[in-house]
Amino acid sequence: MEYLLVGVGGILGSLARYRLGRLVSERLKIVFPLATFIINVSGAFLLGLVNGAGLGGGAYLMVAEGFLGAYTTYSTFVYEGFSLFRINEKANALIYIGSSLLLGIIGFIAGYAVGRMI
Amino acid sequence: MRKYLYIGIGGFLGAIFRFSVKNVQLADNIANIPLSTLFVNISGCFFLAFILTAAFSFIKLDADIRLGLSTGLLGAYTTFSTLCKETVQLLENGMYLASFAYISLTVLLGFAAAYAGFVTARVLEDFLARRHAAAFEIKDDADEEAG
Repeated sequence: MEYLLVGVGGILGSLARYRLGRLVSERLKIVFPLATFIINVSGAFLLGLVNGAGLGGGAYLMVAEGFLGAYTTYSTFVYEGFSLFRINEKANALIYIGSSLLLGIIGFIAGYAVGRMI
Repeated sequence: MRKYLYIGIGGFLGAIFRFSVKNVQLADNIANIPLSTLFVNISGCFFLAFILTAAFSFIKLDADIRLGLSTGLLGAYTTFSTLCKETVQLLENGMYLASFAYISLTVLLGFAAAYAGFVTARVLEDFLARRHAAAFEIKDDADEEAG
């Protein structure tokens, strides 16, 4: 049952990432991978939120482990950074990696603080 | 429409694989570094770089299946939000060195794994191309002998 909850969250999370990613990248033709950036930072914020709000049990498994775990992605993040290095966009690559991690961590803390107030 | 089905199936399996790795806990965390997430993220980086490099060269992968594997399976298998959560937890507990080491290892090994996946796909491509060429040579020789 635990696995099913995580799996269902995973379906929704990956579809949400795909749709949002398409939405952002269709509107913005830039080198910087803004779609994954927005997805990862917002996902970190939301994970902080549900942790701060004290969500537990099956709901946590589905929303946090399943949905938010799948909504955010590390492999695409690294692949995009790697691709930026390959086309010699070193500054963009470093800004992308650094800002994603920094804002992801700050986002989680901010989300946690907001969640505590709920 | 079919691509949503593949991404959904990939996402379902990817999230479950990640959760399984977390539950199995093969080894105790070393120096407080969350090893299961580290393992998931690094292995995912290898496979994504391998699949995307291979899919655009020697493997004739259907575009929807490619999306299912990359955006679905590996996208859901690896996670960014948990990485942030675990880093904050280490910071909260005053383990500054461990949090720094965790982030650094995740980034450095993730990029190394992506590079390794990329190189593996290229080496395999080269190997298959040579074998293909060799097979043609043998066939040519056989044709000459027959002629």
